[in-house]
Amino acid sequence: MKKTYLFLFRLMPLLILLLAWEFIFSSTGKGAFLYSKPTLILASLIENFKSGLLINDLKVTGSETLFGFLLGNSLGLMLGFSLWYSKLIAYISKPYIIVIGSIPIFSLAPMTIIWFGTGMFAKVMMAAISTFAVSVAQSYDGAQQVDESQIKLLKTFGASRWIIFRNIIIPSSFIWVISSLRLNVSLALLGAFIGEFISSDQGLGHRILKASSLYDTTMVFSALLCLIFLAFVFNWGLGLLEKKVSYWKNQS
Amino acid sequence: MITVDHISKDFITNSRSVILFKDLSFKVKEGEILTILGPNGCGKSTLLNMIAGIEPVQSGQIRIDKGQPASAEHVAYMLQKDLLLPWLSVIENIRLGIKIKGFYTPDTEKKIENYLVDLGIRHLKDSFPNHLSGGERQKIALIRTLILETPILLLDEPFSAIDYNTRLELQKTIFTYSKENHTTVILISHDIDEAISVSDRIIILAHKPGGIKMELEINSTIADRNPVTARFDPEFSEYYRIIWQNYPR
Repeated sequence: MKKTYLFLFRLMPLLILLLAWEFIFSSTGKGAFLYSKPTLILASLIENFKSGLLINDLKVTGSETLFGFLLGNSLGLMLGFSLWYSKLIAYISKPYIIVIGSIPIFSLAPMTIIWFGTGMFAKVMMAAISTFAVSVAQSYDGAQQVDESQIKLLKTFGASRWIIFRNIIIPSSFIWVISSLRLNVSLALLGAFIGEFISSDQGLGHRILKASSLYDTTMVFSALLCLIFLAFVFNWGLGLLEKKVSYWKNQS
Repeated sequence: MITVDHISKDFITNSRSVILFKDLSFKVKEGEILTILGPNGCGKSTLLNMIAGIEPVQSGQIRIDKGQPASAEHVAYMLQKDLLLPWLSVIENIRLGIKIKGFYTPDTEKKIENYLVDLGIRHLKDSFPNHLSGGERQKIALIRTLILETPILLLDEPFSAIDYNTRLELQKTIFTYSKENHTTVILISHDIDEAISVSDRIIILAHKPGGIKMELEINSTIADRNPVTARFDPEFSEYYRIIWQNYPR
């Protein structure tokens, strides 16, 4: 019972915001034109889902984000973990990683068009580049946080560095990895979005750019809601993954 | 037989050189249970690490059997912390060491099963470590160590953090194991009672630079000696008195 009340309280600010937004402007005035209205947005969402326009945009941006996310994180995690594996690689690559991490990735967006064209691949690459540096840093940090005495124990069994890596480093740094993945969802989404924003003929970034240049604020908000929905779906998927890999925390 | 032959060890801390031990020598006979007592920081754990072959010997030599150097192959090591991996179940934790060492055979499962029954934790086989008590966890660590069936067992204060009854039970298990399999045991401890009741011989190390302050043979007159009955020995309190008087403070 208490939980239901709490949940209702949680919904209150949203409800107040929506109601205020809805009734502050008249339906025909300048306010509604500039800021749109919840009911208009809802109607637009229904209409554009029915016509398939937003569904297509969702699919495009969703798959760019997903593939970019997978590519950037796989490469990032591999490099991050290999930094633990070899002190030499760590020494050589550390300054480069710091530099890559400090580049505002979106300044690379025009270059990705030159390098990878205006198609979907360029957006996938944007999403991948956005996530890469974070996942390198997080997986390397995760590998550094491992309990030294666990490594000592495995050494007493005569374990090689590879066995230590497989049995201790990978599983125990998973907590860091998952948190980096969560952070990277929004970065991947942003990467794909910026890619679309700069040059594309479909996807949510394209939709928002086009709608805002036509002063179609209702469409801008509809596409924005779709972006939020995508972020939510990705986070939910990661939540499931996290539960799966930390099975040992909950079982007796 | 383990021969520790004139070993020295120093390290640098805060740009000052600290000598841990200098010219330390002793032998451990095959099948003997030797306890090393000594104050904190006198280098007991480092010594055990060197015997296990996971820390290099600076000068001198440690030989096992006929001149072979120390290595993980001969040695099973049990530490104060149980170091169970939380993402592996109890049975997977037990199998971990023997699988890495490459000694795992179909027979191993039966042996594990017997230990689990003997120590009364068979029902925990598929549980995960973070749901278990300290005593239960250390029992699992002990099984993980014993099934390696190495000729040498190194124990670095493995019982210091568990309750008295479990401690006696584990001491008994190790004692019986050593006597039945003729396994050489080196135990590091702070506990004088424990040292007298399980050991054949006790070495007391001095403060660093640590050398041997005293060596004491325990000749129990008790017929069926084990860590519990050893405490009934009339000589027990005499041994205690000697050690107490020589214990570095």
